[in-house]
Amino acid sequence: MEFRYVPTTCPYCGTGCGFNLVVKDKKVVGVQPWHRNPVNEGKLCPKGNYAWQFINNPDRLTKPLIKKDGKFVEASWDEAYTLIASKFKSYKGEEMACLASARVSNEENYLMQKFARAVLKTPNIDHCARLCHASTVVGLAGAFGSGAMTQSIADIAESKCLLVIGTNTFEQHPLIGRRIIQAKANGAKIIYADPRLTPTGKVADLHLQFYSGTDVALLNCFMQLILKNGWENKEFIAKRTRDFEKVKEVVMKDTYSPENTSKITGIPAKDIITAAEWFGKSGQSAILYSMGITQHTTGVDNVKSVANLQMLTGNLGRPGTGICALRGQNNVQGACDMGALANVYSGYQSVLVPEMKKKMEDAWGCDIAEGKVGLTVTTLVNTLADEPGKVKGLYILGENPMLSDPDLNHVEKALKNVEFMVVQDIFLTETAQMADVVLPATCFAEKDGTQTSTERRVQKWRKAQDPPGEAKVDWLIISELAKYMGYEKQFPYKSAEEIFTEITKVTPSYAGMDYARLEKPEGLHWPCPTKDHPGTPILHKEKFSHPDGIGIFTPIEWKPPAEVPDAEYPLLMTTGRCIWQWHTGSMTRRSPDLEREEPTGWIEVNPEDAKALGVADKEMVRAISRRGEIKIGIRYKKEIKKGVVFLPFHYVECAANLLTNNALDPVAKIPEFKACACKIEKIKEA
Amino acid sequence: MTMATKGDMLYAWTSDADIKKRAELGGAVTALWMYALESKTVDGVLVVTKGIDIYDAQPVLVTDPKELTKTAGSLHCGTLLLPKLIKKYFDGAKDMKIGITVKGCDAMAFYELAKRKQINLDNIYMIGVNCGGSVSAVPARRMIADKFGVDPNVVHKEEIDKGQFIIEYEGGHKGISID
Repeated sequence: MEFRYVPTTCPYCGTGCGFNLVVKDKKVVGVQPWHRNPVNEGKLCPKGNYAWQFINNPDRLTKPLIKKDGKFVEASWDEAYTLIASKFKSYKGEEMACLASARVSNEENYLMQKFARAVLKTPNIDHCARLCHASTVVGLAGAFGSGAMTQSIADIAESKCLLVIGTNTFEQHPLIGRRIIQAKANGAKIIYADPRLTPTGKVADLHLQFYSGTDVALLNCFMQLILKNGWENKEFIAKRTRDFEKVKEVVMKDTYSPENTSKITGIPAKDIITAAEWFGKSGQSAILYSMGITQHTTGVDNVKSVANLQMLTGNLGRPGTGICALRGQNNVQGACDMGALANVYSGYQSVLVPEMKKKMEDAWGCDIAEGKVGLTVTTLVNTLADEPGKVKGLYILGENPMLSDPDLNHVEKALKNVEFMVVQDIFLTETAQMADVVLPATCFAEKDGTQTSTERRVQKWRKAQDPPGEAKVDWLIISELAKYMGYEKQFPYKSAEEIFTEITKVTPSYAGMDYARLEKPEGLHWPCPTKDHPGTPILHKEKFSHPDGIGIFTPIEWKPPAEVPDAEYPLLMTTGRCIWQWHTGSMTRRSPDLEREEPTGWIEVNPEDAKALGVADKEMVRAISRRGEIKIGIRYKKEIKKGVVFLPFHYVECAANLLTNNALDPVAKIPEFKACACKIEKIKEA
Repeated sequence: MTMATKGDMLYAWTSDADIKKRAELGGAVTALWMYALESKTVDGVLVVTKGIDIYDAQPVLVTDPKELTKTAGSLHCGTLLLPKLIKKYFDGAKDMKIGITVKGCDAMAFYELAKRKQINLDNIYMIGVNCGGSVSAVPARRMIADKFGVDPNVVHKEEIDKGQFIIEYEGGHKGISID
């Protein structure tokens, strides 16, 4: 009998917790704490604890599937590769698009973008970061020259004041929530800004219950109060930033007085004043945010306002300060780092810079796609739906847009217009069911590799068991497909480590890393430019990442969401996750201990609103937006702001994204998941 | 294994040179388990071994006596409670004879789980060892860096003795009260 532990990194959120997979007789049978890991020190949330349960689920894909006469039939790998290669070869570069995945390793994301650009010659490569933190990447890069979380997770505990805005950290990043508790125990003031009083908000000293989509107004008001009271950091502003006066001009407008901001946000003016004072005077304030900030048509504006506030108060580059943009998925940071984005190669090297394109061509030994920004997840779906035939082939790796993307009727229309679609995944997801070919892939427990957490910490995955049936590791599938496409020389890899070595050669921020250095659970925080560099837990200590080292203020005016409540659709709808489920549920809904806790969706409504509508707690109702409708159970929630409703988006049977709005941030192209108008109707008995 | 008596005490130590080299004291525990496996007294021994480094204690089931040598010695970081693993992953030792080295807390956990019919003590062979306490890995590394001024990665041995946390590293050793 074999019994051993295999230490690895959790496949769920972006915290990067470590745990031991328990292996018995060559199968993963459990999860046990890994006290050695510095991120979570042996503690785990429910999803981490049960992260083993989906691994050997009987629904796992074990053989390639080819759709014939509308039905999937099992095929050999050779048949599948041959068919895919013949189809892909028949399309011109930009007629193809690829989606990489925040769920797979850095190595696999790197290969996917290389496959798109070098083999298919298409610039159309993107992934679901577009749906969560595209606005962070754009916003923080604009302000600081680097679009990532500025601090380490452990730093949060050292803060004297935390502004937690648009993140339900206790449910979405529970082990980061632990650092909030530690900060509070150390005497920090906690300010929580969210339309809902979530479990995270319940530990706060002050809850700012605002209307979704009014973040800029609130942040501008903070800045006005800080300036009026002289709490700004004049030295920091003078030495390390520019364009401060432009921001000052905007935030000092009467529009952003506490009284007017109260009208916009729905927060009492006195609470805004208290929050601004705590934040402005602490000397060591940090901001934590997540989708509540980013998933808006003003997502970039929101992020830039956060950056403005931190530059104004000089809360950057020191422990306990900074901007903690909490990345949602285990490797969404890494997927961005690896260049699985429409506008950059790995290390955020712009596709528009000819030298960067030449650098990749030289490294890869072939011509690559034109140096232009490709279609993003969201613009790809629009193109497929609205311009049929422009994009003909689609290769999706570990993503499920048929549940994760906004306005699912629109997504379905788009995917039905694809001439030939390949999906590589571990389960037959809603998206995979629409594919022409499905390739059985592997999960985190079945391969070596690396992932990069929200704090830019690069960590190892370690293989614990073999994949089921004929499933293969994702990097091997991409490499073998490249061989069928005639690119064997460019994809010669025998191990994940070989791919990582190539990554370090073309990616300056990873240049000092190797597998031996990453073997320690501490991993390495990028940037790590040389072999003797210790990594960088805190960014922007002395200067920002722009070429001149200066941070850039951007004046931002508040704009309302693209769709606001009106007489016909009187409720403001927002969406999110719960602690027990994960995104589209393909893994957690196959984990019995998690599924049992929240087995279906619900709509949270303030009891006063519900009573006005005449609907009882747990009553099934119709939730309707301009894009679709679902049947869903009411959940009375006195903790949600009146006039606002909330739905989790995990559940296909009552998919919140049938209702959400596909309106995009004009720069980051992120959709407005967090605000749209809806109505609730009673279901009339027949 | 070699043994000697002094008063009412029995002293034992291994005669295996490889075990002796790695052992914390005399290697008697490892030698006893080796005999237990060789004589088929037990089907397997659940022991703790070094994982990523000395701060990472990992349990492993050893069924081949030759594999036991590498598990000799002590690790103090990683507060593993082994009986729950027997309950959870070995069906409470219902059908398997398992040897296990226990701290006081392990022994107590065995008895409590047995009372609740979750472990079959008839199939459990315990060797008890003294325990001066254990320390969590991350605080231990932080303490070594902050209090000792030593890079925790260069420490090759740690022990807890007489209320002191002691480290040995290239270039010396240091001890500090764990209070």
